[in-house]
Amino acid sequence: MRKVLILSLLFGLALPQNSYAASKSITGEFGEILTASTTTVSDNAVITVTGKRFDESVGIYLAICVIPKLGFQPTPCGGGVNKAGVGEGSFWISSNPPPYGIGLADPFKPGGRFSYKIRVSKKIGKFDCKKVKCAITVRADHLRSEDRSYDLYLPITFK
Amino acid sequence: MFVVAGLLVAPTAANAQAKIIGGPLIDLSAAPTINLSITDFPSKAGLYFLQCIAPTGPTRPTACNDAAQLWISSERGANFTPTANIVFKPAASYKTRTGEEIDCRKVSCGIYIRYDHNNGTDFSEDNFIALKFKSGDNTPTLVSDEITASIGGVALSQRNPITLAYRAPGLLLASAKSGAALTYKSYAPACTLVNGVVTALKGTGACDIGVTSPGNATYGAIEVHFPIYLTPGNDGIVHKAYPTSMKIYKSVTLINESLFGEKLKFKTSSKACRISSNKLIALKRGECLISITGPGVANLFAGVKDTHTITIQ
Repeated sequence: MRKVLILSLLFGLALPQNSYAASKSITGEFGEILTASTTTVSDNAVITVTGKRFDESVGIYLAICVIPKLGFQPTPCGGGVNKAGVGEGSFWISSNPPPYGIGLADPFKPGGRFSYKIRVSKKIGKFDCKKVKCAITVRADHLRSEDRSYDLYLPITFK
Repeated sequence: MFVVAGLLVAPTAANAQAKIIGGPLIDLSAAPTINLSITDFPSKAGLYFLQCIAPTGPTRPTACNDAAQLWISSERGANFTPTANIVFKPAASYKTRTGEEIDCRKVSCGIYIRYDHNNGTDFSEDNFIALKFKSGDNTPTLVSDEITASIGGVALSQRNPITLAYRAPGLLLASAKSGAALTYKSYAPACTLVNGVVTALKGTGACDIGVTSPGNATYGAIEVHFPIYLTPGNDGIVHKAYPTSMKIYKSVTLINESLFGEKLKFKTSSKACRISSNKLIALKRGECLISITGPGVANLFAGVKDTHTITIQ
């Protein structure tokens, strides 16, 4: 019993979610910065997520997603890919979208900025973010869906 | 560069890396369709394919057919990607933009290949594929329409790109000799074109603005590509957002975010006021001169360096 307890504690300490949970900001490999008003949330809370210094020539999705294995596309995400550009769960940000995206995607503000209020649900499809690791996630939009260099994860913890 | 069409092999450029295969290249009708493919596509930049008369010296040909030009690149907006089946449609005769009539049944014409605007001064991929048209196949020749355009009052050129700074709005104005209504498109993701305004989204690289005329009974349809080089911009502040006068002993919180969202720092050596962070307190009657600075982002924009004066009353 004592051995199990020690192993459980060690395993718990090794979880990456714990090590990142306090972070409210992350910088990507191109210098882009993703910031959240809080990363410790309750179900159905609304948080403010801002970005700056993003590459404005690359469209992105902003959503709450289950953190995938390293190198894999983030999925599933609350709100889906949201090509319609509506809802509170995910957002499509692109200054130069394809013709069908004009009026749907929001352009970046100067300085590669955006700011959204996101409603956070602990359930993403069948996944429970109290049991699996979830994060405020940015990824390149469907025009570069295989490009993982734009992925950013800001892990969230549910109270 | 080798070009194989049947048994045709084009002259090899000394340094050209790209190898082009396809055809037909001989016995061409007045408006043929030539299918080409490229292997060993160079990594430095894309390529332009242009119908021109054969170059006679070391300079690039200028007597080209504006209606038979292709941009081959992986960049968004290119006519074909490097691995695509490239469809090139030259003409047996055409008029250049200067009005010169070129009859390719009488003079040597072909496909001139060169690096695109991203590597425009590099001649190492310059090459020429000769085309031979059948004689006696006459079709009426329309002069290609002529398009003139400017951004922010600066004339655009197909050969000498203008520069545009990051986020500096540039009003695009264009007209055609035919008087036809024009359509516009930004072919590169580094620039947007919304309501006639071109905006650079990056501080380096290049953009390509396409302007298309459908032509009319006198002038042939044409799409003209105007390359633009991008340069870093300048961040700034909105002076109107800051007070120009204050009553003595009052305080004000100054907006501490620049136009590009960077955090601003305020300093003053004036005795009329004092600043702590972004809170200003009016201490004495007189002028309060504030120095405002903000960080820049490499290759995108220079930081704020500005001043603002508030009269303390």
